[in-house]
Amino acid sequence: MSLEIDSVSKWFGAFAALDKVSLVGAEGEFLALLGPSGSGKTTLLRILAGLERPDAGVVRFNGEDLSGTSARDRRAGFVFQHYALFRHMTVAKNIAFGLEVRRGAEKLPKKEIAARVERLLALVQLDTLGGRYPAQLSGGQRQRVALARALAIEPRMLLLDEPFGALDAKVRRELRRWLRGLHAEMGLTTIFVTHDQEEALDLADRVVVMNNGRIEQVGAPADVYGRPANAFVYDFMGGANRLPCDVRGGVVTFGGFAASTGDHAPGPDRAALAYARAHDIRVAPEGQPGLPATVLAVFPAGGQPRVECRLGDGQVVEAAVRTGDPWPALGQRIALQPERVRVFE
Amino acid sequence: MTASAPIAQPKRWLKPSVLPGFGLTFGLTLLWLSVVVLIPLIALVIRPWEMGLERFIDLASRPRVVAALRLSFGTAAAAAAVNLVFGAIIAWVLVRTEFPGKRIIDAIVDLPFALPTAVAGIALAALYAPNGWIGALLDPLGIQVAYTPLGIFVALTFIGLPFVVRTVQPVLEDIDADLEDAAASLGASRLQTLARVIAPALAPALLTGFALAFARAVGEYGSVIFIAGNIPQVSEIAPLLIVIRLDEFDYAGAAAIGVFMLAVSFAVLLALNLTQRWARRATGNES
Amino acid sequence: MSGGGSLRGRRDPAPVRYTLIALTLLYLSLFIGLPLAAVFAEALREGWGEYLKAITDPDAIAAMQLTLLVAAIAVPVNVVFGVCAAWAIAKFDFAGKSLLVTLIDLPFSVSPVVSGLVYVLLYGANGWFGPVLDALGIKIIFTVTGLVLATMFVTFPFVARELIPLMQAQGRDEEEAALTLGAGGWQTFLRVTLPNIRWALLYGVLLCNARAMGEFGAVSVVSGHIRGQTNTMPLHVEILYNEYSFVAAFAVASLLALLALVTLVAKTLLEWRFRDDLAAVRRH
Repeated sequence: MSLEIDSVSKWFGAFAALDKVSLVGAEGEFLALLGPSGSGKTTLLRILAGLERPDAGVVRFNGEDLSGTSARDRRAGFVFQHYALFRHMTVAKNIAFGLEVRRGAEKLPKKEIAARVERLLALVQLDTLGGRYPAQLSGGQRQRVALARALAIEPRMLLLDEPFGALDAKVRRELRRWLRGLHAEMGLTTIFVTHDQEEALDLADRVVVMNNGRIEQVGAPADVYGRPANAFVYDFMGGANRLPCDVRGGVVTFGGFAASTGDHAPGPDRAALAYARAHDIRVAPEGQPGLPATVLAVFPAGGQPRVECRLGDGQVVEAAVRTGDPWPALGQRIALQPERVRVFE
Repeated sequence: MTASAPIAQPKRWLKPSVLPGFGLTFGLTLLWLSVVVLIPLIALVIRPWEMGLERFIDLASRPRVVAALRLSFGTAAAAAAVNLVFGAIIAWVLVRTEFPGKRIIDAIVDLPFALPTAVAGIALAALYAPNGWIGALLDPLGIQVAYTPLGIFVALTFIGLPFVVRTVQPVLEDIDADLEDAAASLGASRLQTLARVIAPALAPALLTGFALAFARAVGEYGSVIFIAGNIPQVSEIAPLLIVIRLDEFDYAGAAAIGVFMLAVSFAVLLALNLTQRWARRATGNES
Repeated sequence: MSGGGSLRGRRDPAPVRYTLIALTLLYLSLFIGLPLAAVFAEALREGWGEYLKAITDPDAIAAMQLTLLVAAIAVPVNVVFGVCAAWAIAKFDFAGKSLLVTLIDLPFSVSPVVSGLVYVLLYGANGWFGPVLDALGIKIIFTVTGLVLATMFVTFPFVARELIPLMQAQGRDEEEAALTLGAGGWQTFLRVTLPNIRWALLYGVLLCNARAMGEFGAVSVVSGHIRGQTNTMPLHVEILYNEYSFVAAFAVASLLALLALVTLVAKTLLEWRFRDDLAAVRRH
């Protein structure tokens, strides 16, 4: 147990940015704080760094209460969303900053600082760019400078606020891979904030889904995606269709078609809404059991061939077409068979 | 739902921040502002109450005072109006045309800000005196500038010159070229575009520039007194009358005029703020 | 300046353009070129000998020294105040902020004479604190202290108003980053904030200094015009002019005009070189 967040609350006026949030992070763990904007994830990250003070609750690191430790003394490597590089300093000076401001016994000789900067520049693959200014770098390069600067102080944990938010898709994927490698190599407890579920699922050991200042679910990526705890998490993970269903005796049916709910109990008998992802909905010919629908559009290209269709109540639903199944024509009437669903109370 | 009743947070006037130094810097700011600006101004503002409102009104409504105030406001308004027109033209030329030496012209517009007013005052007096470079030309035509209200107008035009230019210029630079092209593509003539697209966009800046030039001119002293002639009830401006009253140790008389002028300054400032707020709301962007 | 963006399609017809340019040049030479030329022409009317004699006159030199002294006090004080005010206003959120900004700008809209008047009402012989100060043997009005106070009043907003918009635009991120990297408050200010605002600060100092050295109305009221003691250069110009020593008056005035020109050149160079840094503040 290295990082412990214990019932932390933060209010901005009458707005609860964080509402009694508790979370434990293991030594060397890679955690993603995932949620929509305003969910409190950045506030939580800033509290960990000491940039905000919680109104209630405690943050501990290896059992030590951090409440009285200022941002300055916390040794939390923080990478800002827009990097916050010192614009008037070269890359090397930026990285050296945390070492140069040390006082007293911790002071390092100039040579030692220069050597460390060299090593860090090599680590972030910017060996030749130490003399450049931030304005002369690309977005991805700036990101890596910010990371090297945060690592220079030998932080106890690494905190990244939307680390890939300002980058284009290709650079983002490269950096993501690189960051995962770096984490594997250094084994530093790392927490990053993101609103991109794909990024969270790809990178993190565990994903913390947040909403309205609370934690909705914590779990391994496969768990959070495969077994969402509630409707919000399901929705936020993407690709959710909401389908009308009947729950009777613990069985969920759609027009006579019975779906699997895995280990998740659908609750008491009633008419309810089921959540299903496109690739879990099968397209069957008209007349078979299932929800009757009309095909609106077909998307045969791309990673996942799918169709868009309209239910009797006017709702638009996406469904996958399995390999081997015939492609329906536009306007054709079909039956939708949601094979795996979740029904929340 | 677990009872997480909002812990009633006291409404804080300061949003907490980890950055240090607020207490020190805010305290010093407030202290210094009070000592240098606020307390002295308050001392002036409550003078009329000390002396009694009746006496204040009496002092402020004597013919010589009324004449001075009327002259100050009248010439200031006239000078600001001239600068409104020429300021708009100069701003237009600086933004929309290219000619050799334009950058120097652009820089020189600020001279009235930088030149000490007394220097401007004696220079204008020398130019417009009957034997001066310009005065000698006007004298045969029977036009006398120096030592008349016309001289005051000239001096106030000089010191108000940069205000309209500098408020209009950046707004004009920001006007999207596409806007004019769009108007033209919709069949508007050049004049129609000017009147219906550009003029409304510039109106708040023009108004602001006018108000700033006016406010500056009303209180102006140094550049005026040398050229004005300073004849009571003819070419004696209000700030000069304050100085005269002070020389006579008539503090009450000086304060009465001072308070009146201060009130007008505030009114202009307030009107300006309201104009800017209105303009921001109308265009929907913070500038 | 219209650096970027072509003028294509926005050009006025040539005759209109030339008329406008001609009007501009005419207006500016009438109101700026001629007065400036007149200062130097009048100063040199009787040759360089008289000019040099006028500017090396003991009273003139005393006036120059006093002007430098007043500026040397008022400008640094305003720098400290301006940086403090900008730090508090730009880096923190608090209630009443816009009121504070308005109050800081206030001296801009007050007549210079009124700026002097308020100090006379406070510290003059018949003023609020006059009798008390008199009993203590402290004199403010008709002394250098009064000149400094009045100068500080009129130059009060210069530095602050250049820094506030720039520091607001720069935000707090860099300072917060410095804190997380272990820097203290002073280290953060000196190593991160100050380098980021240095050109705007210099710009503010430049304008503040020009006004401090050239101020006339406010100091005229509190000075008492004591030659060699409370006479700054602009006041000395007035005295000489009123004594009909025109050449001497214009000679001293020419020095002030040179100061104005140097200020303009430096200001323009700063604007050209550091356009981005000053973009936020160029809108006077």
